[in-house]
Amino acid sequence: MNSERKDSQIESSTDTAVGGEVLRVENLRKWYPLRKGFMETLLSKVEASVKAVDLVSFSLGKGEIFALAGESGSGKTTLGKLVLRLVEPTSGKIFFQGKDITELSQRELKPLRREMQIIFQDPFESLNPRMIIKEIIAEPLRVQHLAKTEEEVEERVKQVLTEVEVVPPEEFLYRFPHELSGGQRQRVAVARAFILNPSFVVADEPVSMLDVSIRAEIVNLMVDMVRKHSASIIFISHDLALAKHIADRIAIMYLGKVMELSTSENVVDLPLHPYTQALIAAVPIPDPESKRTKDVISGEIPSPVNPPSGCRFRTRCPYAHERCSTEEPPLVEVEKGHFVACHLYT
Amino acid sequence: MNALNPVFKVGDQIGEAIKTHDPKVSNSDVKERVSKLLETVGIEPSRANNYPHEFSGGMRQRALIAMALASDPSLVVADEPGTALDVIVQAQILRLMRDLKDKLGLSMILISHDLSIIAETCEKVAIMYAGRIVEYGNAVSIFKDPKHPYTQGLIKAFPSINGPRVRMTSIPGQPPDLLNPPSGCRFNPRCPYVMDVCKRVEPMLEEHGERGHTVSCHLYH
Repeated sequence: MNSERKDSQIESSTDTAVGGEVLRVENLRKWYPLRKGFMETLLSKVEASVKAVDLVSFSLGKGEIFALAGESGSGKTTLGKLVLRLVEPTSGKIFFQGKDITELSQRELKPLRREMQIIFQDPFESLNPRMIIKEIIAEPLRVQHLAKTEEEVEERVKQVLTEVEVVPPEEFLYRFPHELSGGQRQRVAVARAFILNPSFVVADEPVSMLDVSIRAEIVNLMVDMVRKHSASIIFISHDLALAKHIADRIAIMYLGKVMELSTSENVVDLPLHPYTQALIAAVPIPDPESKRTKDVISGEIPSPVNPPSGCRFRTRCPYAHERCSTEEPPLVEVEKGHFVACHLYT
Repeated sequence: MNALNPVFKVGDQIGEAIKTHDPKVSNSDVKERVSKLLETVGIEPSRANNYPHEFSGGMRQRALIAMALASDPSLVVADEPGTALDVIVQAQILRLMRDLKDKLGLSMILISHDLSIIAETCEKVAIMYAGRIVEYGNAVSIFKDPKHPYTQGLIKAFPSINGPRVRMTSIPGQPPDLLNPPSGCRFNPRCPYVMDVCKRVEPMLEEHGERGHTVSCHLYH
């Protein structure tokens, strides 16, 4: 329990959020229990679980673009769903606009849902193929009873479609998702997320399914929408180059833990954690003359069922020493606003 | 990721590739060659008896490379070999492929949408758009001095992890509809320099600037 107390102490200093904070999570944890067979239940030893997110704390400022980056299996999507309570946390606390929402019932959450929205990865699957664009975008309004008349619904749908540059809106209202291109579909998903004027949006790899030639315009659209609505956004991405260009701060995750957290320039240009360094060294550079010089670390991300003891990265870390296998490094501030979980700095 | 058959052992699947090309090989020889192939791609030979689900993503990709090398080819076509993998594993796989290419004297065609991977791995590049090659040349020349407006747009659309934070740029419009491709130059509806001739006449791939650097665009003819 020692490490847990340490983590919560650090939390108070993680508040680098400027202009008030929208969201704060403290020691958030999500363990998925593994289903056991009948014989195993009889002979049951230890309960096994997938430690998807393990004691994560951070806060999100008003108007901030916060990137969660890491390899697949690092827990970034689970964390994104946890903060919206789309997945129930095993333990820990979630504060939204200063209010503890961890224990709220779904009924109590409903009015707050106006303020928190999500954009999914795949615009081919996240839009119902049997609904027309107008109904897809109007659904949040109807669920929240925010439009009195049918005219008002249509007016607001048109307005938000114009904002996301699906124009002229009249031409798209009665189309089905399959009649739209991938980029247009993701614009519709952005429109659906922003029609309620939320203060907080989670975008889960929103451009990774799109053609490279149109990724930038969707990313720019999302950044513009966030700024215009003075919303905050958690941008989940495995693409560090993209994260660097759009995010204010980046958190690097590994096996359910935040390894490093700072401004995007700090994390990408002056990474401190050996994992962040390895991750950045592995990103290919679009320049044939800059041949990769640094070595690539070996191995792959271990199973989250049985993460390594101590520091989770130690099995692949070039600087691992004895202390790393016995003691888990807490996330500490080593420079102003630069948090690292590594024994090299403590 | 899904290129391996889930119900056969990895070693047997590699062995199948050997036997198809050389039916007379004895079973013990096949086994030995499979072990060697696995070693070449950096997998413990004893893992030949595992099923694909017991392999991680990177190991599966390595097994596929072993399979491609089974018949001792002189040309390997790799279709998006790193796309389904995380950056670190992707870097490992690309390094392995480069090493094998040098060691075995292979030629390789790498198909990828990711220009940064191409920049790092390839010597020559052909940029395709709507079923046509629009620019072709050596990698340095293509990346340093892109001629075709599509290549220029594509290179700009790739954020580099080095360098300052900038607003990203993209190519306006949608990828083309191949059922009904635009007349003349297929890129003309999205091109910032479009002229009248572009809508009527399809440009030919012709050499421009450096030797061996060809481009199909009316701007240069």
